[in-house]
Amino acid sequence: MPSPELLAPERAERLLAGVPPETAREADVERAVRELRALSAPAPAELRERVGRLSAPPTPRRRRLVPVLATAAIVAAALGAAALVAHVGSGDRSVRERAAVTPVAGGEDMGGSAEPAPKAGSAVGPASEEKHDFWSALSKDRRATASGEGVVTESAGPPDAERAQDVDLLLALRLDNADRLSEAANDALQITTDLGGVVAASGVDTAGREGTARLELSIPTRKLDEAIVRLSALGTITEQRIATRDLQGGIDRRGRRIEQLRTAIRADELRLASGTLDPGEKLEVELRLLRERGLLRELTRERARLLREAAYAEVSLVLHTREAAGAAVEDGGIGGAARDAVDALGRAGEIAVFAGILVAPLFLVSLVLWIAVRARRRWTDEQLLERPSPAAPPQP
Amino acid sequence: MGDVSALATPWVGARTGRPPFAEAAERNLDHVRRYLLVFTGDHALADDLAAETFERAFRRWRRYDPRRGPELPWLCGIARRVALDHFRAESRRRRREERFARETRPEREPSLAGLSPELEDALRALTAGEREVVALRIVLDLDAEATARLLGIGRSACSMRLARALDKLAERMTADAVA
Repeated sequence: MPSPELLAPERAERLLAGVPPETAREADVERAVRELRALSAPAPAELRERVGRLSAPPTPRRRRLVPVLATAAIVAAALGAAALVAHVGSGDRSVRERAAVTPVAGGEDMGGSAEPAPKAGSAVGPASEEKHDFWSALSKDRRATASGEGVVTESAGPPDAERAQDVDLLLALRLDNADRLSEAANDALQITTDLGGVVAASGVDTAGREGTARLELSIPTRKLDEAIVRLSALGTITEQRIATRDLQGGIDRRGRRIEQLRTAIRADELRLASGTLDPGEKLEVELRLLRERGLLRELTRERARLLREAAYAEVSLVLHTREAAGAAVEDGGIGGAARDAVDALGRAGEIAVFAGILVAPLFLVSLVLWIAVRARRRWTDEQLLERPSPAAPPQP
Repeated sequence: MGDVSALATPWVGARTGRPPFAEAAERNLDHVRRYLLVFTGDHALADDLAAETFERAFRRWRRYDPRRGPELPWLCGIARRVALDHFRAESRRRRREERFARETRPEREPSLAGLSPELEDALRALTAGEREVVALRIVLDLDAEATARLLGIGRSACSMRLARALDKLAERMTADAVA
């Protein structure tokens, strides 16, 4: 129960302000206040000297540098990580592309052998290892053989259906996203199979919503028009180029020569069968027959090879998403550098977001811990202050 | 008194109006020691804590902004933290040595020079929190606002604590006088 003479807080404040006491209790309080105010406890010389020794200024500059250096180190580390990720990412991408473009065994209908599809070796190799050098490689190849087998012509139009031609088609299509790209790649494979063609090589590279796919297809030339129509329907055409090499002349020449050889062989066989030849003539005819038959076999093989080349068109189908279009069509130059920079910034942003996601829970946990520690410290302070002798252990 | 000024540090917070630390130390050393003396009731301990207070203040002197208040409450805040840290550490130490402490007779604490025995006994009967508010409001004559901010409590709570402390002092002194 509170004492009736309990000092009110307002009254205590007034007594401190010098208001005269009105009760005996207030008089005691006033006396205690006066005595306490008169308390003189000068610091001993030893303490004064000890405090006075605190003369050397601290090193404020170094202290200020610490947060600056820490911030700079964090920024540098983030940028370095972004650059590293961007570099590794681009390296991985090219490696993935190379690894993903793998030859596919050709079918029996390509000439009765289990070897890769015809012409796949010359077209797929360079196309897979050197992006978009397909046409320059093709031109070199054509120039090397142009003297013997016709002239290479490039156009955006369809080949001449009346003549035997070696046809190379580049078709680039843009898709909306990586999912659509995968579907289109599968559709292209299905179209190729439907038309009696084969897939010589394929490679699909997707990252998030972006990606590219490269398919090297061998499609029957007679169905090339249909193939172009059906493949073009898979996406938006961003590039279409057709290179043709006329094989008809070579086939015709070989055909005529084969006919001549067959006639000559038939004539020589009749001469041998007539029995009118002396041994020397007979030997001479037999040797000529051997040469003619060998030449006939060789010409027949060459003609068959040319016919096979003419029978199948090489189709390089490039599928790409909107963002990957630049990379699929062209690398290098200012545009390429700008794209690399944007990519690097994007990756830096991704890292920042990732770091934020990673750090945010840690920050929250640290904040909660800090608040808890502060609350506990405050509570223990209150406990200490509730005792006359704070240093003494609490009594049970 | 002249020792501190002789060892004064030359650096001054020119832009913030912060005085040299040595000047502030000389001006406030006695006040801080008196606060700690009333708070702890122990001369030697008050000296040790005062020294540690000024060492800590010296390291933090660049953080002191005169525009936010006088030096004394800022120094008393540090002294309070130093004293509480000491009490906490000492309490843990003594708890570990509780058995030994029970067997040891407590030493007679030295008297607070300048105070009457009645008032000194009455002071010792107060809790540390009450002694603290007496030291700040009466001995150092800090105003209620600064004291409340330093203690981390409201102004009315501070006044109430002070009134309770004074009431207990008067009651104890009266009882001693009657006895």
